[in-house]
Amino acid sequence: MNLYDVPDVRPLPRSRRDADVAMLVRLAEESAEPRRLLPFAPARLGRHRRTRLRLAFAAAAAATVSVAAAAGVLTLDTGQAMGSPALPEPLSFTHGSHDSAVAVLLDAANAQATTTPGMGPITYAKTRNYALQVDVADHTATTTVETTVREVWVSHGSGMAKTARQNTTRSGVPVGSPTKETTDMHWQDNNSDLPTAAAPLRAALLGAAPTGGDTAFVLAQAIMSSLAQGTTTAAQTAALYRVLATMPGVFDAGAVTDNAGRAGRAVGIQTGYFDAGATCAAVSGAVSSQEMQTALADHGALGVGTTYLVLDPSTGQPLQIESLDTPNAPCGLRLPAHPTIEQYSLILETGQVSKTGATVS
Amino acid sequence: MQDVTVNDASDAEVWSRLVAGQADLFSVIYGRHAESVYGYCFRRTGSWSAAEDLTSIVFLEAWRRRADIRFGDEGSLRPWLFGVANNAIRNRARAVRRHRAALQRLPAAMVADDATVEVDRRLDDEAKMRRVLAVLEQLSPHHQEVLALTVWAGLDLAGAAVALGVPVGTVKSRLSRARAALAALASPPTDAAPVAGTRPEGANR
Repeated sequence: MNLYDVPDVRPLPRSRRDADVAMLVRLAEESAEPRRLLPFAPARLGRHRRTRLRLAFAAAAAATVSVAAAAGVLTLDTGQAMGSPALPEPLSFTHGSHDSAVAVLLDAANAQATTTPGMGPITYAKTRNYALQVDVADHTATTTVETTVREVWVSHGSGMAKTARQNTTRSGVPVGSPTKETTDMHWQDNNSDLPTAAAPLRAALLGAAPTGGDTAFVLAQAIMSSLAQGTTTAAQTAALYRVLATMPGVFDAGAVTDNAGRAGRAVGIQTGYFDAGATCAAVSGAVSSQEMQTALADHGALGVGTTYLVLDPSTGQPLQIESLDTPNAPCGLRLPAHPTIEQYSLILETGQVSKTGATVS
Repeated sequence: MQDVTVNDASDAEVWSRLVAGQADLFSVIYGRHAESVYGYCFRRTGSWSAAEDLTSIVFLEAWRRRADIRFGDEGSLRPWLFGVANNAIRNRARAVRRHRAALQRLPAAMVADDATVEVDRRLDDEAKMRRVLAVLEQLSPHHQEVLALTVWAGLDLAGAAVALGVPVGTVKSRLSRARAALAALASPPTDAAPVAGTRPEGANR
C-alpha cells in the first residue's frame, strides 16, 4: 500500500473557519474575565483551593493513622521504633469457589452498568496506596514502607495529579519527613482508552504482552492495575469485571472489611510466582541462571503472589486492591516469615466532576 | 488589525500574547495550522465532516490544555496540535460531546451554508481514504499514529516525538516497526508466522 497515494487536503469551508475563529476568540476573551463562566475549567488552581487540598491531605494522613492504629498496623507519627514489626495484616480473605466469584463479578458488573458516576467531563479519583519499597544506601538494602495519597483529575487521558508521600520503616518509624505535596500537570491516565466491551478490552490489556509468556498472570495484573488507579468509568469497570470473570483462576475470597472500614466482597486470583526461598536467587543475582532455575524448580522455594479485589457488593465500585505474597515475602526483603502484603490500594473516592479541583464529596 | 510583527513572530510568541489577553490572535494561530490539522483529521477518519468537527475540537482542546502546551522546533505549535488531534480522534465520541457542550455555553456563532462545497469530489475522497484506512487499521494504534504523523502530517522525528509525548528514539523504533508491519500487510501471505507489531484482533491501544 502506498501511504502517499491519498486524497489532497482541501481547504476548510469558509463558513466553518469563520465560525471556529469567532468561537475561539470569544473563548479567549472570556478567559480574560475571571468572573464569567468558562466552558471548561481553568487548568490551574487558585491559592484557596490549594490550601483546601493541603487540608484534605492532612485529613487523609490523619485518617491513615487512625485506621492503621485501629488495625494495629502502621503508625506514621511515632518517633520511636516499636518492638514488633508493624507490617499491616492481610485482610481476612477466604478461598471459595470459582463459580461464586463469577457470580460476584457479574453482579458487580451489572450494578456498575446502572451506576450514575457523577456529572461532568472530568474523572476524579482519590486513592491511598501502601507498598513495600527497598532503599539501597551504603551497600545496604533496607525494606521500607511507602504510603502515597493521590488525587487525580483526568480527561482524554491526561490531567493533573496531587501527590503526598511518607516513607516509614517496617516498624512504622517515619523515614524523613512526609514529602511536600507535589502537583503534576502532565499526569497520564492509562485507563482513558480502555474499551468497554469484554473482547476488545481483553485484547487491549494483553496487547503488549509477549505471546510466549503466561498471559493469565499478565491479564490479571493488568486488570487489577487498571482498577487500582480509580479512574475507570463505570462501563470500563464493568468490562474489567467481566473479563476477570472469564479467568479460570479467579476464586471467591469472602466478605471482608477494607482498610478504610468499608464492608465489601472479595475475589482473588494468582498473579505470579517469586523466589521465597533462602537462596534468594531471583533477587541477589549472585547465582547463575541455571542455579536460579534449579532453585525455583524447588517448590519449597517458590512463593505465590495473589491479588484480591474488594468491591462494594451493592454498587460494584472497587474499594481495595491488595497483593499478598505467601507463604513469605520475596527473599531479599528480609521480612518475618509469614504472608506479607506487597501493596494495597484503597480507592477512597471516584466519579465524574465538573472541573479540575472539584471532588465528588 | 494585527500588527506587522505578528506575521514574523513564532507560534510561541503569538501564543504567549494570546494567553496574556490578546484574544484576536487566535485567528493567527488558527490561520497557520487549521488547514493541516483538518487534512490530518480527514486522513485519520476518512470523513470530511468529522474532520471539520475535530478541527474545532483540536483548537478548543488546545486552549483548554494551554497550561500543558509544548512547542516544537522554532517555537512551532504544530506538533503539539497533532498530539491533541490524536487524542481527539482516539476519544472521538467524548470529544464531540464536550465540543457541543462548550458551544451551547457560548453565544451563537454565525454559521452559514457553504455553497462552494464540491460534493462529488469530497465523496470520492472519502471512499478512497476509507480504503487506505481499512488497511492501516490492521496496525496497532501506536503504529497508525506514527505513520500518520510522519507521512501525512509531514512531521520529522522530533516533531512526532512532541506530538506523541515520547522520546525521539521511541518514535524511530515505532516507525521502523510500523513500516515493517505495513510492508508485511502489503505482501501476500507466505506462512502463518505472526507479523510483528500488528495488533491482536479488536485491540485499540
